[in-house]
Amino acid sequence: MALSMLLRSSSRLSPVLMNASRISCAPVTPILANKIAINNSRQISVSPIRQSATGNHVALWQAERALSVGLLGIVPVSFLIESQASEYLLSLALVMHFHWGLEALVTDYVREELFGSLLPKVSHVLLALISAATLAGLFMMAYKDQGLAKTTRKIWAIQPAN
Amino acid sequence: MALANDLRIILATRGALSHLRSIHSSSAASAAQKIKTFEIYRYNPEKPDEKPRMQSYKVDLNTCGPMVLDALIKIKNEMDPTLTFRRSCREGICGSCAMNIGGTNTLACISKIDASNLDRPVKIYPLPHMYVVKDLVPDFTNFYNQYRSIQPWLQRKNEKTEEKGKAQYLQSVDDRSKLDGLYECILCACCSTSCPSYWWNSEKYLGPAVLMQAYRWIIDSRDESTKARLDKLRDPFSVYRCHTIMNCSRTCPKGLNPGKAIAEIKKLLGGLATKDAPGLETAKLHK
Repeated sequence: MALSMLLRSSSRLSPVLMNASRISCAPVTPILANKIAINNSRQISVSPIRQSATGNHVALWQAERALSVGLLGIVPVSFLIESQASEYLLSLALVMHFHWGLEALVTDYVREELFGSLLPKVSHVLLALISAATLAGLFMMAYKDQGLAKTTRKIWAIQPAN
Repeated sequence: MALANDLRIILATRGALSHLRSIHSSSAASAAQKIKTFEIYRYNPEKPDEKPRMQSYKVDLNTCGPMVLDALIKIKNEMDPTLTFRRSCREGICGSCAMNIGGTNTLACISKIDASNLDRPVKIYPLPHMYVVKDLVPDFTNFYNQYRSIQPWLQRKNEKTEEKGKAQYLQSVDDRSKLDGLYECILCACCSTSCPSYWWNSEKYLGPAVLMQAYRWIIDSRDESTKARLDKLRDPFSVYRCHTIMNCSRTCPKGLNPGKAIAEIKKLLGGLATKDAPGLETAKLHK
């Protein structure tokens, strides 16, 4: 009677064990009924070790908010004063803004579960290269040419040919 | 004499009453049937080779209760006992019957069948992006493990001196009101499963439902593990996969606002807000 009760309770718990095996438990090998019972109780009492990602994202979040607020001032000011310093500042701010946005995109969508362990890292490196190249290009424009703000103003000033 | 009068009146009106009753029953029988089609997602784990499919059921709304759950129960009782779904309280307090009805995550028991447009079928799916156990029953293992990971219980520093059951912890009215809009959550997972970020990163991102409960314990004036609770959320995934899409607040069948709770967590983490000191000395009655 006791044995059958034990067996019944252990079979009842099997779905729980199946789920637990997804977390980190070794499968149970049934040898003796009382041994199964011992294993069961231990596996249930073990709380799953959940390691969400490591690292600290707080500083980046703060920087993103600060930059978002800063852009509200940097963009109009650089259009108003048109100096080389404001050009560098505008380029840097814009590229950082784009870069962090795209970085979140890559983290969200290029995931290890879908693309394996290599491709997500490659994507992050690639994004860093693209952002660096963009920044270099905009700096070149500010250094050698007329800069981003003046170029944009000139594009706005184009009249339709009639 | 009075009794005889009463009897006479009753006899005189009996025919009228039965007539009325007959009008009523005949009108019910002859009224046009209001047939509504329910298209329901079916998946049988015992036949793993068969792909999930949609199955249609036609229900006469005249003989059915007003809510989608009533129709589901009617289908299961009268048409197809193999249809599988979770339900319990039928009044929106247990969260068992969370499912995707007409493209919205909601509770079947508190969403009305649209009887005005009979041509349009009601489409019912399980909660999106969850592993399906059977038909409309999703696997909540990951969701519950995430809930467990935020340690959803009151934590005190001096649990030895504050013996359980001896005295109450004090909380001011203002401090208590901070929990309004948080404690009502029934963990139906409608919000978490409506969140694209949770779809893409459900293993690492905690999701709106769990984060709102995390905030419920962070902001509780009686809880003293605030720093430890916040420190567990600093990584790039637990909280910061929230991109304020706000599907969570939009879909919540209880009218709560998980998106705001996550924003409050971000403010606390980022140093833009701090938790106030308790309005009353919490453990005063323990001394």
